[in-house]
Amino acid sequence: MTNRRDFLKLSALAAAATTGMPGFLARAAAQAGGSKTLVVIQLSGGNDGLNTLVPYSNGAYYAARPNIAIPRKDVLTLSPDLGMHPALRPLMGLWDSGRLAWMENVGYPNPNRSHFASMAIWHTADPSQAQSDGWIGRIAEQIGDPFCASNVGAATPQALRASEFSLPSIDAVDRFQLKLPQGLGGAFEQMMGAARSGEAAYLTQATRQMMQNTARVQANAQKYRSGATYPEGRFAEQLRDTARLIAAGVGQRVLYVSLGGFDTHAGQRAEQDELLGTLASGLAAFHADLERQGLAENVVVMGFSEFGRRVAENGSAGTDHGKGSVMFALGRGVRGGIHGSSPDLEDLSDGDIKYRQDFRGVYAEALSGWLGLNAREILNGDFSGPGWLA
Amino acid sequence: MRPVSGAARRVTLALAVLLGGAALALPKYRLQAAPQLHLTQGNDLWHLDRRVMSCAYCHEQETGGRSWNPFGQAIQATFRREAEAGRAVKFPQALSVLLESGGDADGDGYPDALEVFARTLPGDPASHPERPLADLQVEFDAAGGAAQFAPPTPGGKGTGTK
Repeated sequence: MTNRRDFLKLSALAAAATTGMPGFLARAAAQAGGSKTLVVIQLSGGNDGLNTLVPYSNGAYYAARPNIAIPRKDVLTLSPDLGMHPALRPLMGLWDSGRLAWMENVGYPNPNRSHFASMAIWHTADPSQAQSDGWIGRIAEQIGDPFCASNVGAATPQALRASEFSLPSIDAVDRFQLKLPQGLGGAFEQMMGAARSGEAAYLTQATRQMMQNTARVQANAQKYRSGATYPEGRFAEQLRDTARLIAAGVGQRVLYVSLGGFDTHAGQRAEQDELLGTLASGLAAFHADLERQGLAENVVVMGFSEFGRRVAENGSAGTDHGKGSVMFALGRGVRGGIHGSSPDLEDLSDGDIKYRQDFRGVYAEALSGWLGLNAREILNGDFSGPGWLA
Repeated sequence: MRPVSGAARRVTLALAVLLGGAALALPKYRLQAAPQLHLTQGNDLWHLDRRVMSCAYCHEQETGGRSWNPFGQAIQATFRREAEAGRAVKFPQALSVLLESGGDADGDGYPDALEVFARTLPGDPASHPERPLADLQVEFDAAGGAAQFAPPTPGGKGTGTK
């Protein structure tokens, strides 16, 4: 006969066996609450903002970048002074419909040019680097649910680490399944079927609930049929998985996706042009998918990079680590347009733009305006944003 | 002291790979260059092994940093020249263009491509093949010349992509 100790061991085994997406997503569906989702896009490596949102009317831009500037004729015009990199053309439909926002000149005090240090600052939302937990980890602590946000990718970024736990990473939705180790099915059924009372009864009930929720989540995930054709590639696959998680109704408040390779020290035009194309085509498909599934109303995307790049090109037709850069947001909940003033390219700080918008203000609007959370508590202060939400 | 068994070594290596893979992995440009230059053959964990292609391949210091040796400077100049000519090239293309050009960045008498072939450092005049240039050239040409260092083709076998 199975005793209480065996039951707990088997329950732990069952939990271990069912680890991954179904279990924690089922729990997320039950606990996270709220109908709105924030999708965070991390552009790793330091995306060059000046060749992303191009100041095409500014002679200083072309003077600083004789070989890598985006020619005026190629720029996708957004305003009399600014336009998008041509590889971002897939996002023009969103711009035209007022669902794409650019935040100009975003940074933080005492900028750090180290990838590691600067990314940590963006992840922790703490330029003093005193905190080790991430801003999304703190969201989980405020909501009181360690499963309310996930990284869609291999390794959980610091942004999703709370003080006592780390939020989960989902490498690929299809790889997660509810499966007991071979030969344990009978023992598990016998254990679950035994009459119990007290803590053991509670555990049995909780396990059954988890399995039912898991089955529901799995069924919903199986039902997902993409509403758009995604381009090939890992980034698009991750966005498709993100759409799938949202469509499955698992209730996660924040989903996190990364695209790397923006450290364009050499041959920037070849490298960044391709990356921006990957970014734009993936995001356009993602938004179209959400639209067709009737989910676009409740999802906004917010993108950032750990820093921008220096104004002047270097000797390798690339750019080196800089300071401020641009952020972007898209979705039905976004107030489309360009928010904030462009950097003065003739008034630089050691060859870099002088930031004007603290990134924590952009975060704050996502937290309070979109997710309905206490931004002050999560960010440890009050920060004003550029007003990028509708 | 008890000797460490082969199995223990394998476990230790596996743990090191699991725990420190990201920190140990070669930087971006070396990840691209090492297979292109055929420096990875016979080493299944080459992408975690900094000895496969040392920093001194392109930098003045073994520890890397901002000072570039003559070969590193030649790569930079290649990027610049290609951009000035209106060609946007990535690192593998730039490396190939440089090696095809037949230059000898460190001025030791052995062209860069032959130094790559002989596994010496093309940016350090103190590092050069021991064999006579003519003999090495014959072997190099027979192996395919500088074309053997062409960039990998997408989806193809290329030049040693992992």
